Amino acid sequence: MKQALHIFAKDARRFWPEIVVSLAITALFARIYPNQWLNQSQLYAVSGWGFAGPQGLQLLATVLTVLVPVGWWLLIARVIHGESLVGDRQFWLTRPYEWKHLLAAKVLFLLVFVYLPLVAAQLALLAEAGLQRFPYTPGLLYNLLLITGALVLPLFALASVTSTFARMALAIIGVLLGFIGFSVLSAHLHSIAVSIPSGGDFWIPILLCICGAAVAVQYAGRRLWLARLLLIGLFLSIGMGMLMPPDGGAVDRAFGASAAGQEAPIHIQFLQDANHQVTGMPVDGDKGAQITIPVHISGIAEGSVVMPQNVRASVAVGDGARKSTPWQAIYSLHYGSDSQDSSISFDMDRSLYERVKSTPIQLQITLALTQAQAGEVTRVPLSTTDFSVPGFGACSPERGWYDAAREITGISCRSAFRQPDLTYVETLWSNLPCSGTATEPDKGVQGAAWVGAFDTAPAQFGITSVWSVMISLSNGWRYSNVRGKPQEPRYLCPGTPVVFTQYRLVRRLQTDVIIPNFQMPAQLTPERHVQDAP
Amino acid sequence: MNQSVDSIHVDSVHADSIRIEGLTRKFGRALALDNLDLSVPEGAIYALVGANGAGKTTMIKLMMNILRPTSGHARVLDIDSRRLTGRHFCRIGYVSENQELPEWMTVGGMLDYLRPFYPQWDRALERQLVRQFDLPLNRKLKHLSRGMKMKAAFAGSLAYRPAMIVLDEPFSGLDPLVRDELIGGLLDRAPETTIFLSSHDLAEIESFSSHVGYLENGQLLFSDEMSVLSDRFREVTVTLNGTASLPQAPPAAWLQAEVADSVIRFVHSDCRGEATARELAERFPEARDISMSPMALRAIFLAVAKSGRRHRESSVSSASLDAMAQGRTQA
Repeated sequence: MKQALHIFAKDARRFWPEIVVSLAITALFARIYPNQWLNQSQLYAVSGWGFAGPQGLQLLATVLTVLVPVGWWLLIARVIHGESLVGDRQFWLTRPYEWKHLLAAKVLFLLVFVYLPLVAAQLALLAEAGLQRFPYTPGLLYNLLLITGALVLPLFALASVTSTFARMALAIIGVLLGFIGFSVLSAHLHSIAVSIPSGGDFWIPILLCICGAAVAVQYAGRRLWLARLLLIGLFLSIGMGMLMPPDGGAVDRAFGASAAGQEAPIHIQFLQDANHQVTGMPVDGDKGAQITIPVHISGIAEGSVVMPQNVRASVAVGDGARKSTPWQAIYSLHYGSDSQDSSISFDMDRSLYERVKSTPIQLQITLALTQAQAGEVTRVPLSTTDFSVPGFGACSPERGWYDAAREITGISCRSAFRQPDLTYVETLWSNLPCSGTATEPDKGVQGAAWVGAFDTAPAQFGITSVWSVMISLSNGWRYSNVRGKPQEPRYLCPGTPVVFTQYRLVRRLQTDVIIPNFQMPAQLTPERHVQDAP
Repeated sequence: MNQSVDSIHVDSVHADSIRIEGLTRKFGRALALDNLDLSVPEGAIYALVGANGAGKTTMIKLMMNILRPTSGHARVLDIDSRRLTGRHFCRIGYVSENQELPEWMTVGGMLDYLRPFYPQWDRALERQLVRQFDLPLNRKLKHLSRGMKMKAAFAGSLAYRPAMIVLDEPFSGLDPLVRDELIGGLLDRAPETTIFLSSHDLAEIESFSSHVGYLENGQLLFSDEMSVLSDRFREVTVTLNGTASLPQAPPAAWLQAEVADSVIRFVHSDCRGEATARELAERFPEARDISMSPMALRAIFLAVAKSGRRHRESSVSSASLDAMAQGRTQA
């Protein structure tokens, strides 16, 4: 260990300019990033209308989230190349360096000059966001794991198989261009996506293992080509993974079929009357058809919410054969216990549509659903200052920058390390400015919003420890029937109760809707952009 | 940091500090070293000479486990070179003309940095070397001349009294004064260590080497003790009464045989003193005079290389050999 400390001390002395640059970027990030979650009025208050206006500060905060990893790249490249593992002229090769101590010295360097400042910055951000009282240790550790797997260890591995900063930069540019190419190709090959809970994090253990192995073989035996092959293999595997069609099997695994006799948590009824029409429009450059079916939703238990997350359609094409579409994601759809009319859309091949459009068919729609149950309810009187919502995050009243009276026109919240669990936020709008006095709770227009999602991971990947939570309360604007009269804002009065209902996951399942004698729309109508009449 | 030198297994039965068997290294299709056998006894000052590109540096890098052999193996201090790791380098000093030094460090900083790596680092010897080489401790290595850098590298590799010192073209491009200083520093350590050095400059190694090997195109043409080599090679001049002519089939040991009027000259590469003198007298009974003169190392190498080239159609040009023999650095 003494040797590791000795090498570490040498590196710290040698690379102090790089360390200072990286620390300065991290400190600036911790100082500037809170502007990301300030609302417009607060931004104008802190920045004024000058050149470094609110957009400037937010842009700088965004740039800093990129510069922080760039600073790490600089540090990692310099410190690893300080005892380069590539080449045959290095001073250290014929000195009594033990590889384990050398590796330990480099890891220690990263712990002290990358992870420690990052943790300090993250704690400072949590404190700035009013989240310091929340239990953040698992989120903090998991976030560091994600950053290690997705950023630090790949950079470490790339530095260990390159001899100079320039070569490493070329390698990184190559990797980035490769991923851009794979993304473009993937978008060209597959126009649909699926929604899988916590679908992205499975790459992290793979990245940790392969990059860790590349670093280990380089340090233990300087087996350059083996290490490079491991990294090239990893890059190609990720690329091929991006090119693979969306994993319908993962949807089937995540959303199990309903057990026999088990009642579906939702009743979906196809609406077939003069007011409800099946519509279709061309998609994917006329290669596909998007069919939208009006449905009536009912049967959801009180206190429950059902979210369709993926849809798949299957049609009979004669001779008992059926053709199915792949699973397709549905976003931001929440059905509560109130009956309501809604619609379900799915994409299908244009050729299949053309084949079945002229005759009635049996259409089977399978929905992958998430059912959640209302849990803890937190009722917080709206404060004129920041307020905390246990288990959710910290919130602030948002004042409209357009409103000279500085009335409250919304709520913005922050949560630690990830978006909060699925939460229903509701309150009452006042049509009139509050002028600092509380309005009667039962007089007003309801405003509500769904926020968050179910994610079992304690953190999402990000440099920041604070995530802004967008709460777009419904009915925030009052529309006038009088032509030409502008819409007017509604207000949230101090003291008005804001109710945060947190939902817990009950189950994920599939349910079928079978529509016999279904008639596809006779033609596909392109989406029209409605323009106001002069 | 305190690495146990005792833990390094050294088989005292072996008297060779370096033993190389069948060592081969290819770079793609190019054969850099071809089935090389070599042994260097403990305490020797072994000079490996050869023209640029002969394979000297490759061989040393294989010995130091900087490169891996394609086949064959080398044992250094009785350790397979492929297993040489950090702790073994407590007993090996390595200096190379093309080694990267930590140029951002001062000379003193480099010595301070190296010191804790070596349990047997000798502070007194370090101070002596600094004085001997007149090293400016506060000057950064990047600001030093090439000669001063080599001196600093020598100091950093001698101060822990290594059992073996391996030097790759250590004097290349240095002025004679610096060269003499370095050789002086090296010879001070000679009684307690084995020295293996490569050079393309015969003149610089002739004065102090105990053993010499000649590498050409990846093949070791000979490897011998210097005194044996000097005894073995003689420049023979046979003066006859009449016009001279070479025998129909001259012995293989005769190199560069030539005739001028009544004189035959050749290099005898297997001279055995009186026995050879008698043999020559019997072969040339009409000789007026037969003289056998000792040869300088340079003359021996030229004879071997030129006759070897003649026989093997070697790619080494005589110009390059001449340059090597004259100690010139080639482009």
